[in-house]
Amino acid sequence: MTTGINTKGFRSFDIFVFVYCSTVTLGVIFLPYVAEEEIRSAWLKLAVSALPYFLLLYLLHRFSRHYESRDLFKEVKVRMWTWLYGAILLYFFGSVIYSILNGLKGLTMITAVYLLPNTSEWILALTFLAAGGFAVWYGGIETITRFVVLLFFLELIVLFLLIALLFAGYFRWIYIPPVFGVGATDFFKSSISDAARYGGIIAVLGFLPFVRKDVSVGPPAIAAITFLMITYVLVAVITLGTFGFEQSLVQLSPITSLVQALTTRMGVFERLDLVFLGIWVVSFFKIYMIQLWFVFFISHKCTGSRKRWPLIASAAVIVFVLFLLTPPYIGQNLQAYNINVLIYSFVLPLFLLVFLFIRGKRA
Amino acid sequence: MELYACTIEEMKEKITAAFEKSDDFDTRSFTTRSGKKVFLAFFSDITNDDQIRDNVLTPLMEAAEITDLRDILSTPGLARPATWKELIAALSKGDVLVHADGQPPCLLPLTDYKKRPVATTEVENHIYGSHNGFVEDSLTNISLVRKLIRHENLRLKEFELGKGSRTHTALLYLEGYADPGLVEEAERRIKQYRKDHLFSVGELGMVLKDHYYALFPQTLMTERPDNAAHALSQGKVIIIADNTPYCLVIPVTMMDLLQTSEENGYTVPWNLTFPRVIRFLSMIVGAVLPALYVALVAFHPELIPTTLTLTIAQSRAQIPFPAPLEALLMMVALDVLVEASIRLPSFVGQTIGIVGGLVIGTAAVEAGIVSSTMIIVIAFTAVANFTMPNWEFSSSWRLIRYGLLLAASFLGLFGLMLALCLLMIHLCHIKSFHKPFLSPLTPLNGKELTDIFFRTKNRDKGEPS
Repeated sequence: MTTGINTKGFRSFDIFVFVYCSTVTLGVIFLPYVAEEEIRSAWLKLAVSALPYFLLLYLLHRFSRHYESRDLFKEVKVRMWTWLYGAILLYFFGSVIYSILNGLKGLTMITAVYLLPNTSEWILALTFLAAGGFAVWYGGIETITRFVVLLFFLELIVLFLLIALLFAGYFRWIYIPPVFGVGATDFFKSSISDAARYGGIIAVLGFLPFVRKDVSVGPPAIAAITFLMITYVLVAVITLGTFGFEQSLVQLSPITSLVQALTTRMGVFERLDLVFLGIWVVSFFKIYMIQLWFVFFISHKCTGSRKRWPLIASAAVIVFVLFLLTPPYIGQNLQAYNINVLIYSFVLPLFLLVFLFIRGKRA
Repeated sequence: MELYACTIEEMKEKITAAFEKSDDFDTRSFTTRSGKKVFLAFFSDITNDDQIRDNVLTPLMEAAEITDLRDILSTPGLARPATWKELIAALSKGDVLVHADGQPPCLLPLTDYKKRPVATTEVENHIYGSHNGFVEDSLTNISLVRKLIRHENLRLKEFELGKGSRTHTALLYLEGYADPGLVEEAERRIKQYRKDHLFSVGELGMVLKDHYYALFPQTLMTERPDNAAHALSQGKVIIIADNTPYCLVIPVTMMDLLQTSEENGYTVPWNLTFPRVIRFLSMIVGAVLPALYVALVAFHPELIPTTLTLTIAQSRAQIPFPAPLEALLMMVALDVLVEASIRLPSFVGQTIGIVGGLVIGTAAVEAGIVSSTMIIVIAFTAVANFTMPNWEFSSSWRLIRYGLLLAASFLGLFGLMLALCLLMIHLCHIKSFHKPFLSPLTPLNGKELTDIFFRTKNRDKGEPS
């Protein structure tokens, strides 16, 4: 065994974990609550809504093979009108901030409801933003990726815990077959909210330039999204199978309620839901770091500044101010948010990739 | 004045002037049987009189003719200084100057520093491992390592560090095992040592670190030659410095700090797995337990089984302090006890242990200052923390415990989780000579990770697994 000096760049496993972990957290905790319109076939919609992202990752794979820098923004910048490029960056910046804000709202609400009912939500938000901001400033993408790899095992433990719930006495298979009581339009419309669960994948655009040049992007990324889809489908199946359609609609976080049902009559912990929530806080911290780092990446592309702390601090302050000014999670227009997630995480990157391929062919 | 051209008188004048304020500096001038004038200079307390007599005086006096000192003085390591600076430095180090009239001066390494013999280890206790421990003499330490690895590929690079102390320092590595880049990097950083003195290899370790303010050690200090040899066989580099009964091992990961080479000598493979798993769990328990206890008791009692909640509530009924303050008091008391018992002689140390145990334990509970459950939590934390084979690593966790406690005291489980995230980020960020501190956990290397916790049959046969 030799002790090698670390080689630069991320490997396939890092891509796999990054894609999986940048997406999974929030999607799980509220499943299938956000799919307000129709949840009877939630698990099927989750599988269907993953398909566009397979296309996106395939195109990213093609892009990474054709462009050595693997930096989508860099390549677009030299081939696009400056004003349009600037506008796209600003849209990305705003959308990721919006996404962080939405996640933060969800986090503080869940924390206030289940963990700290006597603590103001703004204190939780401030602490969380400060800790995450510090971590991003201190660590950078290399540290974040290592952290994500470390946490992947934690995610797996949670997943195995969820699988165990399939065999719990409350589970009823009768709720599982999809019910097509609605038309195709409604089905696809309601799929938007489920597609939004895959929105976190956008951060991979900032991650790609740091991947080792000899590593193929496609296979690990597509494997990750497949694994993600399986996770979501599993959670949807478990919650629907346990609570049924009607009850699932009114549950804030069915999965938390489900874990609440897992009382251990003996052992160190009597209730596992708070432990689960504790793990979830860590998991959300991870996703927040990834998103905040992506905001920094976009800001760096906008301003050209490499100074990490002013950009990160500015983003955190913006999120905090918006947190104070906007209504709580439940009061938000999630449909608008979901559509926006779909645009910035799928439609716009798809447009940019197609644009690059067309320009590349012409060149 | 040209060194090689100076006469005996000039040499004597110059040398005496250089060391006139050192009362232990000795000079001798005499004429040999052949009629040649000879001048000797040396520090009397760091040279051996018998060796001077046998290796210098007797040969010179018995020589019929002195044409070249090198033909008469057979001491290995005899050297001719090129400059005055070199000559003065060698004398300060303990060499003996021999200057025969009309000949260039010679330096004989007849240094005789007082050193203790190789003794048993004092800090790193073990069961079956070798009982030899490093001593304060770097050459002895090198010989102990060479005794364990007798391969010609065991390479050594020497340095003299500290303008004042001129400490002999050696970098050892096993060619073919150690990464050449690592050796080069280690050499480059050692050469960057700019302080006037180097009295301990730990001072050098401070300079070698990748992250100065990191909470965790990025080098491993060991007093055991078998640990050092094991590290060499793993492709690591060791640094031995004079005056230190420890050597530095680089690079080091968290997993390295949780294992001892002695475990590789166990005949039952599971006996290697079990203590390492226990240590890993103890590390987590030792850091998190007080904070978790406070989070559960003060913020989330509903998490604890009802009967246990009642027991804890009963034991805390008469306690005037809130749980966080109670935990803080006990943790400070524990660390005070640890520090006191380290600094005191062993016989008083035992007394401190007994008094501390009684006063902090039984009396504090009976007086209603702390609860009995808190005593159990802190005692278990202390025991868990002491399973670490490396003292510096264990000390790092002591510090972290306070941080986690603070976070849990303010925001319960939420605060504790955030603090743990920051801790993990810190751990993920640290590198030791570009090697991630959490390797092989992250970046993940399944084979290396398995090797740490499991020993396969093929590996013991020396075959690839």
